[in-house]
Amino acid sequence: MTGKPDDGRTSVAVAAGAAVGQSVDVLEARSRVDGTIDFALNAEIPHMTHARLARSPYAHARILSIDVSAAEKLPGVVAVLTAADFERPDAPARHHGPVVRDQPVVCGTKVRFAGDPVAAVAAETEEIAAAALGLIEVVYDELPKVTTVEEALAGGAPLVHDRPPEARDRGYSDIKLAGAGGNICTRFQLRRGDVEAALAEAEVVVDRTYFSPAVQHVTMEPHVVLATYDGRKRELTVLSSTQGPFAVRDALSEMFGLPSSAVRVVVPPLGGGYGAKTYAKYEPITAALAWKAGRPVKLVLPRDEEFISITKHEATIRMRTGATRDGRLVARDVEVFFNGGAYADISPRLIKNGGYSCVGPYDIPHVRVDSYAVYTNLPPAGAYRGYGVSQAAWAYEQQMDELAELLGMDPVELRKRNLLTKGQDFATGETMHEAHWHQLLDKAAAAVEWSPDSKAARSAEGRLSGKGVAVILKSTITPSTAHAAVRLDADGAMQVFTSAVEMGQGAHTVLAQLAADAVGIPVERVHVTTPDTWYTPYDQTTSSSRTTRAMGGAVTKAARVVRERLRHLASELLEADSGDLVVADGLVSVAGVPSRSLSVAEVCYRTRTGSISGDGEVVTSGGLDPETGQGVASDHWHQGAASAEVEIDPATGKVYVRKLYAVAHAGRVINPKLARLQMHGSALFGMSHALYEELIYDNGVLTNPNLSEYSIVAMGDLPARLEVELLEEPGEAQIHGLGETVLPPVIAALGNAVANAAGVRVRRLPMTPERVLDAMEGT
Amino acid sequence: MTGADQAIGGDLGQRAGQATASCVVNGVETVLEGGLAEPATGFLRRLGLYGVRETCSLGVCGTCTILLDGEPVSACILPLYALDGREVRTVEGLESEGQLSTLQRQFICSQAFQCSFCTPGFLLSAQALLDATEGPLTDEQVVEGLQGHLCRCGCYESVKEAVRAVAARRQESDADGAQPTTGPQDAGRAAP
Repeated sequence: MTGKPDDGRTSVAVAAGAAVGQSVDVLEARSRVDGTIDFALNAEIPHMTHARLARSPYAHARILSIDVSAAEKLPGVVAVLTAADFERPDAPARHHGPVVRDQPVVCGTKVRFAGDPVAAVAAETEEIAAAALGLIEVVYDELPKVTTVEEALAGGAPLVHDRPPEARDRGYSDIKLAGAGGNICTRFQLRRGDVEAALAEAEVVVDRTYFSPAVQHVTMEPHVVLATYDGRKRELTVLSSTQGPFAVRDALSEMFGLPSSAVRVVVPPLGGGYGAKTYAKYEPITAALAWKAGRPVKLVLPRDEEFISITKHEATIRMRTGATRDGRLVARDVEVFFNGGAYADISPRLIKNGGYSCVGPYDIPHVRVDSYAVYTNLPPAGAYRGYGVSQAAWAYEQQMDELAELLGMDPVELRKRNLLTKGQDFATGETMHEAHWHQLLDKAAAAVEWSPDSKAARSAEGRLSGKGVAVILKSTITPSTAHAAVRLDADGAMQVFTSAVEMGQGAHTVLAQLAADAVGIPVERVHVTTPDTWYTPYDQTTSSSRTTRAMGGAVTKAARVVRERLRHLASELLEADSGDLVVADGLVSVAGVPSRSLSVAEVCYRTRTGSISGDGEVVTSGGLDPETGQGVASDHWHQGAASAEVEIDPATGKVYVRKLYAVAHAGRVINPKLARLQMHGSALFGMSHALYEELIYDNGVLTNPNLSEYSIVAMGDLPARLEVELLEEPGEAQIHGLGETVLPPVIAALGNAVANAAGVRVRRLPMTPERVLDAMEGT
Repeated sequence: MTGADQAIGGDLGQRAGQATASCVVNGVETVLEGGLAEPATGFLRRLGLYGVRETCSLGVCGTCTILLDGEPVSACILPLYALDGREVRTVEGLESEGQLSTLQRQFICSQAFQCSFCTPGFLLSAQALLDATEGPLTDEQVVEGLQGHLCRCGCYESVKEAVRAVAARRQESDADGAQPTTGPQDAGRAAP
């Protein structure tokens, strides 16, 4: 299906079956409604202490001195960690980062954002730890700061990092650092054709700048880490609410100079992730504090600190698109500035995705993209559901409507003239093996009864109404690696060993469904382990909408190995070739002769088999040249579209969403009711970003770090109608992840609907009543 | 902690000469232990009621909701002394004799949660809404009853569906015998 040769490592196609394609209840459903689900928040172990962090009040300052003696003397305080502790010869490294080791565990010489940790306290209770923070005396010398991209790139701007940060020894093969200098952390560029010449010849050119603010993930469960360092065994055990058990293991093993086998990361179910918990976040500081304290340390991040932990990148995108009079795109020139905050985190990968994604699902012969990660004195930005594509789509899908207006053309028709089709090359030079955008766009347009003369109208109450559509492509992390193991026990029950993190998306349930059908046992007999890097096989991260396809493929292959071994064991007992045996509902039978059958338990008992194991993997390849952007950006492409109908109150500028529709290509849906919720969740995230969310800084200090002043969508804000749809294929089909696909187009579709209704465009998110009103009054 | 809180604060167990403060938690008489002014969430979690979870710590997100004499309140901003002599119900108290309530079963069927961190709060406010009304509920009634609850995973539609399904069924004879209904989860699938 993917058009690539099967080297034994590729993803698998699956058909609907006894479990696959069914709305199976989630495995742990009962614990989710009776309150007993075991979040990291509940973890307690003997001798455990509680941590709180001392943080900088300044966005940029030199640390002149830190005095923790009074805090250390407070009864109940067990340990206070500062940069000075890292001078000890046996100390762990003081810096970490998934790509660039630029983030201090605790700051030494200077702080780079308001909230940068300068010390950590472990105490008998959280209250004592909090009280100790007030006794820590830090003398700062405030430095000039940069908080916007413009300030950071200005001549003579203060440098966030005085020296170029050190790249990690063993990084990720798809990330090639280029262009660092000044406050530029890294650059990505894409070159195709001759953009200048094509733009000069283009009959129409649109040149606009689009802005997306920093927003926060707001997982309902905060970051929680419980770390234990055993100095005698030199072993580190960390229980964490992370999306990347192995990413955390590797970060800690490098930081502590321990073999990976001496670092154990265990991950219970998460109360939401959305990217906030990808890569090491608070594991390094909690582990270092446990090392200093000689006792286990638990950190539960307070809500206001969640808001400064990690954000979605603020992005400023200048985009020029040239077209012919009849609506053929000829060139696109894009400058993308991602505000990465004080530390690189995963910016070097994200700006790449956010860069090439600006081309959109369109065939454009001449393309130039320059995408930058810029250091500023703001909290670090990192992975966020949508991964740079939300910001890109906000720009290019609005620009498509603006171009259509200039051409006097129907925006849906303009898109259809330029959408990529199967077999065409994307701007990176890779061939699109699947292309469903025409169908997705048609469905989105039909859902809001789009017609070429869809024009703004005025409702009975005097509200302005309008419609908008958007269509997008989104890559998945490439290359990537997923391994899994499956063990069928002698009683016919099965264990799936996976490091996929269950964070509410239903990963463990769909993996159980896939494993059940691949062997031929009831899904009720399948158990899925929690990730534990001591026991469960490697998985890159639970991110990038990759788990159902990548881990699902690995589990399916592992289960197929088990089925083959089971059939082999049964063939002698049933006096038939193993090729003539079928396994279904826990029974091994001779095909066509159901009377000749044995249960799994009987096969195991009679062959003295204790368990049957198998393993499987999905390993993808690819990568882009950082200078030309040519290569393979994505193993496969997520494809989605959205449409919206809005009403605007012209007196207040408030936007009312009458209808929101989102559609994604799914290939094979494993669990319809879970798939539908992923779509709902993405659509409402998109709506929330479009209309409400923005982190507001004053002098580099966040002014709205709480759920009272930072609004996310609530039940009363729901669109009057919310509809989602999934495109499936018959027979055996590839699985396409659904965790993020329709988030970006929802934002852009709402932008286009607001512009359609208001007659003016708000190019800056979120589209608050004030901004809508300002735009309308400006005309 | 405000000055007033501090004035009446202190350890409940150490107040000599006073009867022990207590409340009924999920039907069990329970002595209040802890600082008077500390939020009720800590006390309830120390009882092993891990369904009580704090998210915003401001009383605006609904996650830590408990029922106090049947009324939904945010435990994160409720001082411990406010529980004295009252009846407290947490999500752990919704089931009876090991059987999930009709609403809990319907939440599973309608898949009215993803990460489920906020689910206890939704269940308790929804139960209070069902207890305070009769017959079917409109969308607007459910929204009014649950507007104070945030769900970042965005399961609002499924929650509405679950609550309305339970409300719709309760008029048909005995609600406890009613079976959960499957939702429109298979709707919206198309072949290319």
